[in-house]
Amino acid sequence: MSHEHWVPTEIIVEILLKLPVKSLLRFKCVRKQWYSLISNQRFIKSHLTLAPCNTHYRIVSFDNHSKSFRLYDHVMLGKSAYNVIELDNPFEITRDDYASICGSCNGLLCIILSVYFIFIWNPSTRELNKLPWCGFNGKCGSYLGFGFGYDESSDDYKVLGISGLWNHGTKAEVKIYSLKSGYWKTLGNFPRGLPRQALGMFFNGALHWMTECKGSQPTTIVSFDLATETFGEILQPVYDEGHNYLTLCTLGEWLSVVCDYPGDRSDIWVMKVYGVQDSWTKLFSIPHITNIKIPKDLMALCITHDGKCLLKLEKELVLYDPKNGSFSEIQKIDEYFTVNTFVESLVSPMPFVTINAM
Amino acid sequence: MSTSSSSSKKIVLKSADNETFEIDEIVALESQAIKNMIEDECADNVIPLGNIDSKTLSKIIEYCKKHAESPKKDDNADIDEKAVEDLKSFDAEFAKVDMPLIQDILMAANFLNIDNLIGLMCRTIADRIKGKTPEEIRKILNINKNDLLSPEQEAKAREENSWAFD
Repeated sequence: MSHEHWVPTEIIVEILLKLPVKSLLRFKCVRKQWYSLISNQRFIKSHLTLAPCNTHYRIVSFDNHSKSFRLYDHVMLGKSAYNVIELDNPFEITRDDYASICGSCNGLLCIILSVYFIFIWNPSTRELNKLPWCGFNGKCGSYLGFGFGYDESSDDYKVLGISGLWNHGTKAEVKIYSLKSGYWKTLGNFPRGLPRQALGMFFNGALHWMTECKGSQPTTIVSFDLATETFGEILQPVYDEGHNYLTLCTLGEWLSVVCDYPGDRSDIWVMKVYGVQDSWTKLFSIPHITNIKIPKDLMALCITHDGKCLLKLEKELVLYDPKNGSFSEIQKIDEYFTVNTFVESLVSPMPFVTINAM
Repeated sequence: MSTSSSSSKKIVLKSADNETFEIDEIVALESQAIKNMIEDECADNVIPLGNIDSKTLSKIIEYCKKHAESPKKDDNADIDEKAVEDLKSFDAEFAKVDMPLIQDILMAANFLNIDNLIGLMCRTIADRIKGKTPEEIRKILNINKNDLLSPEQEAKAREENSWAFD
């Protein structure tokens, strides 16, 4: 029986939505109908929405020792038999280059290379977009930070650049780049001192930074709404006395703060309802009395399906089990590295996606 | 085919090749299309399914029976995990049939509007085709030649994503 003539398009879409990106790129050649379905923006968005169900959730890292990008498969599933995939570098990275992943959103990575180049890269489709440099210089003694995220209201991806001088009274300068506009726009000054971390955390349509405390000015969480392009502030949890370093991260569906008590423990806080101070909840504490060296800027990356927490230490990735306090190493890295959660997607890093009608 | 419980209301389904299947109404209600027919009172004692053969229909009934007997997720938030696992392994076993039958079941499930079964069949097809080449897909899914890309278009599409063909 020939099924071909009566397979409704919705059913074909249902099947295609369950396929990984690599198969979909290959299957564009199957027939014209599949080519246009797979290239369709609505399809690309639905496929992205389903990515977590299709368990394509991954972790991506770049380390400056091997100068390579790695994908960690199955980490979210908490399997000990996780799979590491080394990616082909999308551009030349020499021994003297220094690269970092400054954001990961909807399958796109924003990469800064040697304080001169900014790229938006989709490792799943291998599409690469080189952006013009923002004009800031990353001189010694200056702060240079970036944030990357998605503005749903304009269906646009944006990069924010912040530049300022340490130990200087002047405010830091802010510029924003939108993929659709294709240029950097000056936004004025960062509202409070300087961010403590180089990377803005993208969450709920906004970028977030923990600021450096200066004199009597306490540390605050500054937010930047990518739709309205305005700064705001997120109220913090009421920490216990004696805390030292505060690190902002995103942990699954929550904005999170890791609060360091040197030599004692690190508390993991999450904001269960975005923007509601009362909803800050302490998830668990990580003891410092262990053979694992816990850095002050410990980052929590994700909670696995079996309740373990993936942590970024100074030079390694470890899984921490809050139930029994045990650590298991995922990867040891000999150099400064950046790491992010990552989903596979067909989203293009290019500003204008032209669909060739076939 | 008859079912064990005799007290409940029965529905008779008739396949394209004129085979009749008497099933409990609760089993038939797994199909949104049949449910609508019954609610609208436009179902006679026998519901003719002129585009579903008996082999496909008996598979569909097997699926609906199992799913009608299992506790529904939305009924009770904390149904026991064993039932969920049991249903999962039933689904996995159920899908172990050849591709033409998978496609027949999918088309029939689409006609009868059985959401879970459509999802299961789509996932099964996706799992089976994900590692294949475009040529193999055309053969497996019996895709006709009228809608192929021109040789130039296909060469271009292959070149753009040549690494995906490794």
